[in-house]
Amino acid sequence: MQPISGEFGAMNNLNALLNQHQISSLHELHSHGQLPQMLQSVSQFDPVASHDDFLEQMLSSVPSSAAYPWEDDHSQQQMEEHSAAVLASKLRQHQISGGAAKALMFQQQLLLSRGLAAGNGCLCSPTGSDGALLPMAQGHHNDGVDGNGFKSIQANDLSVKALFNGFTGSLGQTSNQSQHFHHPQNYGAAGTATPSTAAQAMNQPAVSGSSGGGASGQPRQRVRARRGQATDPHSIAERLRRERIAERMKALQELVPNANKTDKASMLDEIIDYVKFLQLQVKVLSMSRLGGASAVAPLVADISSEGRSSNGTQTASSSNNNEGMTVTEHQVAKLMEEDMGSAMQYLQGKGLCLMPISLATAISTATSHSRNPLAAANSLKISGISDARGPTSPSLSVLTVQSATVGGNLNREPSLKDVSKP
Amino acid sequence: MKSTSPQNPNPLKKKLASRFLKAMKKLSHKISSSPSPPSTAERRRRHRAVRAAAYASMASAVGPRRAWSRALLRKLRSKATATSGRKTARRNPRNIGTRFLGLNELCDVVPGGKAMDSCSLLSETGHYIKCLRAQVQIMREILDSSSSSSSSRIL
Repeated sequence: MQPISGEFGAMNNLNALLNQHQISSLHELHSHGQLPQMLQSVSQFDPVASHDDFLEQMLSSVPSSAAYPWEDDHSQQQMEEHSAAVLASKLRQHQISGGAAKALMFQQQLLLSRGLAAGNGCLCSPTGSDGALLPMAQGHHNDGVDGNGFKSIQANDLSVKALFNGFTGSLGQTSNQSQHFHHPQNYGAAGTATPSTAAQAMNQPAVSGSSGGGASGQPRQRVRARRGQATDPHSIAERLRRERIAERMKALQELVPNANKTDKASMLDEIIDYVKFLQLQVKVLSMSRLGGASAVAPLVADISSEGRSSNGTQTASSSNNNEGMTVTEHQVAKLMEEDMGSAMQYLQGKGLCLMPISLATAISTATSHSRNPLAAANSLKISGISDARGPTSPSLSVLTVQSATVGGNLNREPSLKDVSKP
Repeated sequence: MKSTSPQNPNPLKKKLASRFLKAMKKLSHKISSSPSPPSTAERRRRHRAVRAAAYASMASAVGPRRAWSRALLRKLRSKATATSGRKTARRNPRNIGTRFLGLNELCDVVPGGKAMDSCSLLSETGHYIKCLRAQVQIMREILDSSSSSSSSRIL
């Protein structure tokens, strides 16, 4: 364990570099056959070269190699198998010669090629995980759309929402590829601790890749049993713990909308940001809630008497509500007699406005969807406060009669159409 | 939540909704007794009260089954008894060594996260996110329904 741990850090850096370059090359060149060719050319290189030289040779060969035919999956896999076998033999050589770092590098290459094969095979038929991600994203996208319709939302909240909405839109093929890159990376990182059993580590991602990653629990146990003979129980416990954490991370990944991150660190950052975002939403919503606190009482009555058909409590609370309404209406009527401007100002101070009935019906049908067909009917019966030129008392009386008859569970019905003015 | 169309088939959401609405009712009694234009300090206090009510209802709806809800309830009770100066010493230094860097930040965000190991912290986070989401949805629905109904002040 000791000599390996020193090179583990270097290995991680190389890993990250390799991963980055390979992913970027994938995006740029749009041909997945690049890597197997590159690996083949690697096997021809002098294995005595140092780490940096090796890396540069690999990277320089990427743009120089020609585009590989993409449709030829089988031959490609054969090539990869071949290159994998070559690499495996080289790996054993290096293990025997004690060049642990180079062995690790070759191993990484092998794992990546395996993962690539898995990714290639799986890209043709999208896995269930991708499908599961999409409805999640859509669900959250709807959530975000509702949030954008939310009136009193603050600027920072909007920007954070836009951030999350933008991420949900970018779910694409990269998620699938990167997930399969993620698996061999994990296994590779875990396997570096025991280079003597590296061959078994190589078998592992191939098996899990072929099974689509779904049944990867079983081969993992098989591998673990083998490793247990070579290593001490501490590392087994470590591995168990790490896998439990990986499971939880996956579950979290499905909860959080931006699930297309490859490594644990950025996924963690995403999770943290999401939790902070939700807490900020609670804060913002609580700030805008206060005016509605008085209107919550009828809702409470509704919920508490869900099963009951009696309207006793409901009419009591609704009459309270309607009394508030009629007071407002009287006020508005009085103001309108004096001056329309003051009436408008008064209404705006309450967060209301006057509007023609046609617009009011359009808004009410748009917002209430299929909930209350009576809402539209009710607003039609409302004689125009918007007309306001005629005598106000008959319209007022109509309104109060309306609100009284509506009563019951239609407390929410608008007798004054209100629109918030932020 | 509306009596006409049941919008929460989720039992958790129903529990959250009922508790939150009861808490809001309590608050609204307090508000209705005061004069209508509140000062900014008064308003800020009310905001914080609503937010506290949201978290309290969330924690009580979940109950003591989850570590984060227990921690939240403990925090709220200690605040209610106005002993904010009490500082519980960090009794778990052993967890910090086995943690990734990012988890340290996560345990600050999630209530009660400091006294948990990485595994349970992650699962607690998952449940916490679910509950937060449900709470936000409920608050939004309440706001929508109340704003589309009577003459209620939005801000």
